[in-house]
Amino acid sequence: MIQFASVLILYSIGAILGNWQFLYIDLFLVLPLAFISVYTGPHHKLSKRRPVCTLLSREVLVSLLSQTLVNVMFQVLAFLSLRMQPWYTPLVPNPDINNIVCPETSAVFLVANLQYISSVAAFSSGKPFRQPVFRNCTSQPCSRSLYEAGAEADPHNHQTCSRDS
Amino acid sequence: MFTGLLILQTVANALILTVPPPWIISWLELYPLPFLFRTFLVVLALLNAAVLLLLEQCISAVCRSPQLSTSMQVLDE
Repeated sequence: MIQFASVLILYSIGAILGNWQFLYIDLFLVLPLAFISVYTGPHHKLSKRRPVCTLLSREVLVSLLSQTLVNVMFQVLAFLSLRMQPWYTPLVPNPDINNIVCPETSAVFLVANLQYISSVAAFSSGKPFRQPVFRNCTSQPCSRSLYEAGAEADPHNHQTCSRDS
Repeated sequence: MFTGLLILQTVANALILTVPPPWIISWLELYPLPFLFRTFLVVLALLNAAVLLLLEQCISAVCRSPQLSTSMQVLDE
């Protein structure tokens, strides 16, 4: 849903996420988090409450829809705040090429990258059935380094690197 | 083994993005956003994370699943 929202926002101005950005999200972000999040162990005390037994339950649907709504709102907020910057120049989409290298794509890509990790942390609620997410010693360094990677992915270095090369 | 491989892959990924070689930058096709705006986006994403965590806690507190039967409670006690 996060990726769907990103693509819809970018389509509205004629831009698109690049193939390699999709690959980066799927291969280096979602796949490790999906594998590692299941390493969270069960809670040490058996709960009296019953876990959700269907995917179409009220709890799952409300959680999914509200989180999607929040993620979309923050992506739109990033997109709109970009448009208010004094240095911003609107994209003139070229129909002959994929409009990937533009500020909108980079801003939405950066925010969405961190949203994947936030969503995994939010969905890994511990009590009453599982241990807290910070007990998952595998996911902790993984999530932290991914978060740092997202925060430190410095597109500003692009100029420097290009100039150096 | 598998876990170690994943951690190694993630750390390598973090290093590659923190100190990006030119081929990574051109590979991801990123636009050079100004530093202040990029910081603002990170703060926005952190705020987003806080909202998501709070929201999920609220939802799981409100939409609680029903308790098991009395016999199971007795067993539990």
